Amino acid sequence: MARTARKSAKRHRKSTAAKAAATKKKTTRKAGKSKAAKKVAKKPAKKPGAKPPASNGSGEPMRPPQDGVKIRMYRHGHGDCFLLAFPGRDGEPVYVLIDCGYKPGSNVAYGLSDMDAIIRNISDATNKHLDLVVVTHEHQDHVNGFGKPGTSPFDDFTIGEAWFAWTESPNDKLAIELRRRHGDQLLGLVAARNQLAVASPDAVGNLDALLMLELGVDTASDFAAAAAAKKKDPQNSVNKQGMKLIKDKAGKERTVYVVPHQNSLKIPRVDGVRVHALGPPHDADLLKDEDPQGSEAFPGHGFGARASFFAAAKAGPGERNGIDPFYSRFAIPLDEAFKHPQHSAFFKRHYGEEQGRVAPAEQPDECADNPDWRRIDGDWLFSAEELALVLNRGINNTSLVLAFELEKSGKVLLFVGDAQRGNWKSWTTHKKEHDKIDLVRDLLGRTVLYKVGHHGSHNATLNGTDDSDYPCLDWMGQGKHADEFAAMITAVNAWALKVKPKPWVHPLPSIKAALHKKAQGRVFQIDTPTVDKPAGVSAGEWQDFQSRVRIDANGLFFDYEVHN
Amino acid sequence: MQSLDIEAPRSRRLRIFAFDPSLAQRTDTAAIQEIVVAIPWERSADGGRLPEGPVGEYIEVVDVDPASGAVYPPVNLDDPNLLAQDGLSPSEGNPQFHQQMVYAVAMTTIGHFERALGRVALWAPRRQAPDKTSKEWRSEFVRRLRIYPHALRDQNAYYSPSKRALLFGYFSVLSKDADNTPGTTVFACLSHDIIAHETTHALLDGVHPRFNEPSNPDVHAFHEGFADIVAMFQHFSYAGVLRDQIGRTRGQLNDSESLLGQLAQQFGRATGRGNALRDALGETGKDGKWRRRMPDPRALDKIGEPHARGAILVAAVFGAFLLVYKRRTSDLFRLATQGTGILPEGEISPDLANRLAEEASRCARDLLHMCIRALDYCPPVGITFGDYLRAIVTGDVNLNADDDLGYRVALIESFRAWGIYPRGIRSMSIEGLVWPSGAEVIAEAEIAAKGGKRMKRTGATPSKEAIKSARDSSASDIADLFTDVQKAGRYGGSDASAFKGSSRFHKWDLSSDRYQVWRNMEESRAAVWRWLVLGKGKKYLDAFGLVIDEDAPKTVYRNAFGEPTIEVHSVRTALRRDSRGQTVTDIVVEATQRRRGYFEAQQQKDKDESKKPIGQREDGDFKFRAGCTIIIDGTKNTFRHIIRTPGRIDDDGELEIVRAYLTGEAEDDQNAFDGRRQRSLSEPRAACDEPFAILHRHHED
Repeated sequence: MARTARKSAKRHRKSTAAKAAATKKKTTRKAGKSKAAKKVAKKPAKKPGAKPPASNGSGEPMRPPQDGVKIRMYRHGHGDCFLLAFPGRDGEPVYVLIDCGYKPGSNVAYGLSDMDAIIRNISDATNKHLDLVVVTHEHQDHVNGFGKPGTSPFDDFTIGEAWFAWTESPNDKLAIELRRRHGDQLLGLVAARNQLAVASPDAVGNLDALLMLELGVDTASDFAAAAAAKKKDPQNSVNKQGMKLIKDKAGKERTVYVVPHQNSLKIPRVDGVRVHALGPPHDADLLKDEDPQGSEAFPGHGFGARASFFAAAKAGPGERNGIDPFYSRFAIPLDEAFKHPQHSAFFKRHYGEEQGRVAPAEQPDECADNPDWRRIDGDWLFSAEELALVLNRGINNTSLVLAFELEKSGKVLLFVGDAQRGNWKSWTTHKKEHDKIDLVRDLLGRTVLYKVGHHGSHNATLNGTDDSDYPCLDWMGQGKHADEFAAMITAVNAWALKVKPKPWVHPLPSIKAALHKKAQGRVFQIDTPTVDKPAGVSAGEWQDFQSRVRIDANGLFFDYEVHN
Repeated sequence: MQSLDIEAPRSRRLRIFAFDPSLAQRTDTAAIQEIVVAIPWERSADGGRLPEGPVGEYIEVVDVDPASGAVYPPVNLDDPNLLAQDGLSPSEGNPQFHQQMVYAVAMTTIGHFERALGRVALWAPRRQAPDKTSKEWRSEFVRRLRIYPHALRDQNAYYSPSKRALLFGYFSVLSKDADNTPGTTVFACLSHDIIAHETTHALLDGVHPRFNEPSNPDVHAFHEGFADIVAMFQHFSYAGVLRDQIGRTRGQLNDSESLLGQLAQQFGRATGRGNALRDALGETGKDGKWRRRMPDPRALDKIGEPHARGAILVAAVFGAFLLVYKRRTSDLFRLATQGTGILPEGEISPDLANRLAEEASRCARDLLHMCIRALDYCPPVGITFGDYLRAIVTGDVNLNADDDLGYRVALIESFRAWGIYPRGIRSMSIEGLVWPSGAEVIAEAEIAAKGGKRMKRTGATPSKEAIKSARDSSASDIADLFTDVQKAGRYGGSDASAFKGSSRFHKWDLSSDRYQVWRNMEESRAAVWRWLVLGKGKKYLDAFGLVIDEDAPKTVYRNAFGEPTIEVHSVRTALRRDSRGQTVTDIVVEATQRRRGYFEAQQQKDKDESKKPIGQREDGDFKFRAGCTIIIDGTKNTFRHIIRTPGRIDDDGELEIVRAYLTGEAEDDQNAFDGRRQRSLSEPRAACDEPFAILHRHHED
């Protein structure tokens, strides 16, 4: 279904609106069958067969407040897409887009807008000019909305400037090494996945879900090609093509690879807003296996320990590979084990040669010496899932973390991408940054809007206390900023819980609860159409918040203003 | 060929790495890198030589490495050349040595279990659900635990409950530092502690079938902690290593860094921690100095991750060891220091080191056996650290009436310092901790039955006479179980199909064949079940905390007649020698009931009160179990102890506690996608869900 939806998106750019509407109708009908859709969908527009939100109605340009910023949080599925509007120094608004991606299948079926409508809205709101595009990291749910050059919905946009994390830099040695390792590991993982799919087809589900995020393709049969392409030309992987589009449009001169605490960042044509980059840390030590922090921080960590796994995975069944644990004189190739003049009897009797051929046991209710169920032919491949998780965490930790500081009031908007613990901790505790602890504590203390890390998952919003020596939720929104602190969760919970075979618990209930408590109800979540006043918050306080929120009539987005 | 007048040797001597290969590469530890262990002299079934593999009575080493597309030929330990030199010399590069080492260490661990429990070790049988070939549940005897020394290319090693096998991994090191060389391979199967740890998981699975279902935060942690306790104390039983370490630490085991308490050295270094993987006893601070981990009574409130929580249990037991060791060696220190207690500078005398090592080794062995023996005194499901303390104390009181060496007091002191105490006891004294005797429980249940609800609530202490009469009256009912054939009645065939019709209890198990032992146990299981449900055991159901009333909540599993079912999981005999040299025979029975639990409280209520019975196939969101462990004194025909779970199967409060735990969020060992707690270690959710694999993987996140 996801593939169809995307193809239709491409077609739509060139075809008539009627055709597009027909495609959408089809998708919506499917959606009507799902329970979740019934629950979430409240608007008549989402009833089966009904017309989906028309081009959206809000075709007017997006206007920032005179003394602050407007943040538009799109409601387009499980993923990130934010449009920020600042007042420009020449009186014209300045538009900043942060990420544009979603998990296929997580929007229309859950009563949310499809990507076409979102992009039309971005187009109308900005008049097809984005002053700045920020891409936090290369996962599908942050980049797939950009499409491919040539068929991208952004083809006719102009882009002033583009910011990426230093990990995307074509010249940075560390970045090059990281990408090499990432590519190698992906190839190995896909190979392991394909072997595993043969050995135990029902064991690859979790692995597939993770590989889709990394590779940006939605069907397992495309994995191999996507991984090979990525390895051959890392800049040309599916996820990277969208990023390339942004780079091309901004031009080499105006593409910035951000190193935390180094570059002085200013949004083009905007005065009075400073941008601080807090992560990902730029440090060769993090790639070393023995650095315990590295293990949390980067995709290449533990590469050595895993190299032997990937080598074996790529070699394919029966094929000898270069890094055997023992000299060949100690080993017998597996396929010769059952023919070996001296040892075949042992392996036939105690391991077993073929499925179903089992020696009789001594007693009728005793297990045989060589039953199928005790063999381990594919068990080593089960490690792939864990490795995919580690890799995924690694890429999440390459997230560009930005704090937008409104200088006059000191208020800060914190966008952390999908940063997990390793990235968070590095903001202050890594050796290159440890003198920045006061700065980071100060910035977090003044934070009034927090884009919640990794869809509100475990380990992507750190729990702590005011005294903790690492950045955490408790550091945020201190003093007078506590009354304004708000959070945005980019998750479609009902969809995430349906991920097979293991549900994604996004957001984690305890993190969601902590956010609601801290923000006193001022929490936006993509799958929740309204932000309701909790009991115990005075009408006056709520009014102040409410006055700065606008919920799109078609459910496309939340607009939220922060005033200087 | 064998000479008639020379007896076969009693043991086989095999060389192993004392810790793991890394010690051989450091000059200060090179001397103790290799040790020789003596394990039972095993023969093949027909009395011939030990089959290649080795494939013995308990263990089969099958060295298949699918990732490398290779197999490694099995070692022949009966080769005269190997017999003459205590097996192959320790080597990282020869897979046959790896086979020898896993066999030797696993057999050593099994030996400790057999001595402590007083019976042969059995692996978990394979239970098969009804399928096309059979309509009934079947049990299959699994004679040998299989060991795959090179199964995985991963920083991992685990016990696979579904394969009844240990899978060890290996990986190559690319990092370069003082303790690692890039390009070398680290093998989990060469770490003494990892082998002992994983073997313990397998043995535990064989003792308690439902023991690893997590219904509280201690269950998984107990498995991890217990396996580490076994690995650690097993180390202390090697004299050479102990002597060296005691000499090095000048006998002060409690405040110096000693290798003995650190598990899995090389594994830890290679995975980048610089320290042992699970250093329960202390840690090296940022200044490079090692410090003992001081007891923290609040640690349990803060730590939920199973390994970290398990480390608390290890630390508590180790704390007790230090207390006993200190007490037992104070005279030696006085002698060596003319009463000052202050040792002169420099190394201690080798004689003193020897004597200290002897004391330490004896204390370690005693404590190890106390810890293992306690397994028979635990409730059948939902173990907590507090229950475990009660189990250790009770087991020891039964065997050694006097505690002249102060083990029990030391354990209580150390557990208390770590904030471990059982729920609902009156005092942390020995009397308070020993599980109540069967007669007390029965007398109490009688009072409660007479007194109605009010008495149930307030509880009542039965009089001495009531206890005595309960003891006397139960003796003939127990004798009935032992002597009479237990009839199946109308349940014929619905349970334990192998023993249709009638079954007999096997009280004295002197059989040397483990298959026969297992078979007798299965038959005894059937006999106990019948005795409980149809026979004279029925009158004690109240005391056992078992419920067969039809008005129990509908979610309790029921048989075809609509009555709540009782499962007898295990009937084991333990033959032990007490401190006066008398042989003690105990029969340990575990009986439980199960009930469907639902994550939604309202759904639970609806189902509990539903008019129509719940379909046999419906399983609910989780299983809630309750029941008891009954320890029968086989000589005196008394219920020595009745150890019940905190609530009966119809106890909604206990069910709520389990639900709250299961629906709570998981600890830090979870990843960023999956937030729920794992339901059970024995029932993988998917083909690739090896429960212990997940628990054991070296996690940083």
